[in-house]
Amino acid sequence: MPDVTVRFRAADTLPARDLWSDIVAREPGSPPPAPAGRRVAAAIVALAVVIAGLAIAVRAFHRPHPVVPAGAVANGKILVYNLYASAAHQIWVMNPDGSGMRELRKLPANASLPAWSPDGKRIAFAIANSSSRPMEIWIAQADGSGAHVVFACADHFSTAKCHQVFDGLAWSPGGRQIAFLLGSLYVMNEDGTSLHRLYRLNLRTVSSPPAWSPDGRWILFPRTTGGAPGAGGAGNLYLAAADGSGIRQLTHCGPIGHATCAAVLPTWAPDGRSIAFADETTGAIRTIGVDGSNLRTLVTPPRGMWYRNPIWSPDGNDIVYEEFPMLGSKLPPIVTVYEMRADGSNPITLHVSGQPILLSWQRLPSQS
Amino acid sequence: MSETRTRVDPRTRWEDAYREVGPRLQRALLLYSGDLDLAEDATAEAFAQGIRRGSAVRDPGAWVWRTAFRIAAGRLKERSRSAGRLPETAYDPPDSVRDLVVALRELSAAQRASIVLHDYAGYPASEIASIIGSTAPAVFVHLSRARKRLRTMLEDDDA
Repeated sequence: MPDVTVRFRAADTLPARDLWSDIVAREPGSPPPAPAGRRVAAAIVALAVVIAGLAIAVRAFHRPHPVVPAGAVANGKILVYNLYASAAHQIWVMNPDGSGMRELRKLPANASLPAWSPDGKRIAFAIANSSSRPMEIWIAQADGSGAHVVFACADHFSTAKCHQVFDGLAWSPGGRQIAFLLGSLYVMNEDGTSLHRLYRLNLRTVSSPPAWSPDGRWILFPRTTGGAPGAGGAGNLYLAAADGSGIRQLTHCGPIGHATCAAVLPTWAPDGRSIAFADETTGAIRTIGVDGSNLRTLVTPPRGMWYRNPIWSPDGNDIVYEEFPMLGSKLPPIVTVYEMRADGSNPITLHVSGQPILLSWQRLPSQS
Repeated sequence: MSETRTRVDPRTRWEDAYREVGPRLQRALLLYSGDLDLAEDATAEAFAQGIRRGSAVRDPGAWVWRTAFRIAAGRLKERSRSAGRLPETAYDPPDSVRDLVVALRELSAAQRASIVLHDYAGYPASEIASIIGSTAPAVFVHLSRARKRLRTMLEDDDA
């Protein structure tokens, strides 16, 4: 018999219909056409070509999160905190299509919890509190060069406070200030000056970084009460006015066991109208309007898995998130990174590896 | 000395990429999925997504292979979560490749993707690893096991 490799040559006799008219007519992310007869499908495609212009116009009005003017921004690289990497280099970047994952080797050792500056040119990150080193916040160029300390916790607070759990930071939309949670909500200038406590919170656990709204008015943060989510506590999201005028509760998740949600890891839509978050009760990725209305579930994980760490693309079209095996699951510790449309449709796999944690998506000016 | 630049219509760039790799990609997906509708849909969807991304994709040919295989894998996962085995389809392949297509259905998804991308599409292991989300050493293992199983099954068929 012919060798296996030789047998594949015969595959060139398989059919390959010209799909170009189908391609230009289809809206990406639309469900596959029903496997009806090919003549019917061809008729549908022909009809779609005729009404394509109308469909695009209609879609513009029905997109769940439009805001960012088309072509105003482009999606840059995604920062990944890769716990399976060497201790020296745990911050990686990957392209928006999941390719090209690589270490940012110029960053200092033990750098963690990175966030792109709003202009996509710099990265703020923490050298988080180990038992021997109080927390510090650093800023570097996009390639990791020029890293320097802007905030050394030990210069401002007690040793005990500096060893509290620190879980990331948020840039202000203009890139001039940085907010972070350390028991309370603090804000400082990007160079570390003018540090001040915006709100006293008495947070005992922090489950994710704060998130500054695109219009600069709000700083969103999660707060857990009665224990960590998943361990008897409730997780909710709060909106703190950036001018210090007050805090309001956004989600109303009750204690685990009686709750409909446990909200952590929030990410703003670029239009500032809605927020995506991970629901630690169900493992789903959900969205809620900034006024607390329209709580929706975008995707629900298969049994034994969690979805976590949603991040919204700068152009507002997509959300990237991760699938983790549940704690105690017998499933292998494989993390799959997915991308879906912002309305929850068409999830595709971007990356599969040990344990990446997505943290920030670079916002670039459009090249067009 | 002045330099003349011509602006290439993004759609033209993607159409060129489609004409170059589309049919081969479609056939590779047909081998991988055993499903003509799915292969066509994954191919069309990948190119449609590429057009949406426009100039953000530097290498449309490479990008579309990766995306199409991930779309196809996602569609198959939705339809069958039973150990990577393909759901039955009504597709009847030509005689020249019927035994190969039938044998491929018995492989795991990773083995099937690896051998189709390597032996049909001509990708090296490192790029296959990138496409299917694995490592090059793992791809070599998939290739080795896939060839061994295919050889056994196809020899049996020939006997």
